[in-house]
Amino acid sequence: MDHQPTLQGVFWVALGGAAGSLLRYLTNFGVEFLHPEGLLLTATAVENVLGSFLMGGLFIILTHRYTSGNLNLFLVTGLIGSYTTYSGFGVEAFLIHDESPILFFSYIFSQVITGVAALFCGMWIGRRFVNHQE
Amino acid sequence: MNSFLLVGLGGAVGAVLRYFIGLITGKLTGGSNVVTGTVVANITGCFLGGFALGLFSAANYSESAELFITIGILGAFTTFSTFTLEVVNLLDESFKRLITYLFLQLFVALGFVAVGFAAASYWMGGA
Repeated sequence: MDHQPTLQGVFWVALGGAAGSLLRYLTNFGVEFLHPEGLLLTATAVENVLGSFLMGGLFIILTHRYTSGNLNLFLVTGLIGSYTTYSGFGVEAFLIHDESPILFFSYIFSQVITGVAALFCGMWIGRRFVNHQE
Repeated sequence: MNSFLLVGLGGAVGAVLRYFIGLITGKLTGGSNVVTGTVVANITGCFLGGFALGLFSAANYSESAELFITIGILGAFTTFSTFTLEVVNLLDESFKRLITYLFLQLFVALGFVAVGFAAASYWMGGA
């Protein structure tokens, strides 16, 4: 990133950040309702894996179409960047550590591995979409 | 204050801070793909997340402060989707770079949650 930030760009990041955080907050309610007290399958896990999937697809589509610009700032930096969270991931890992070390490592590695796999799936679909458009 | 407003406002602040951290980190490192803005934001955010956890679980803080700071600002300031994206981009690079990156994210950043939590306990004990 070697571009200068513009006021308009900051606005799009802020708007995406607000929308992504609200969607995460709503997902928290949804997951707590459908699957309460989950140890590995928490709301944060759902958000991080789903967000990674969307990030993979968007990354392919956006780098293919628009290299930079406000749409990228809104969707990637703002919306998906804020929908997923690392502090929530870290805090949940820290709290689960009291339960057992096995759960602690299972929580971390299951989320990272599923997240990376989801990102690959998103990229695969993104490539199909891009090829289909041509 | 309305909880949605607090989360949305905090999310906007967190995302803009992450955006700036990304620009500054990119300038300082000359565009390194190991020490990225995401790494810096996640390490800082994990420390603050641990600190907030210690603070909010022990002291009598309002739920509004927790919504605004933890779910809003810190939730948006840190990011998992860019983390996985950067991991995948490093898979094509050297193994050493990938391991260094994973060390920073999984060992340093996650370790900083405990550091933040301990700092909050110490801070409140001293206050």
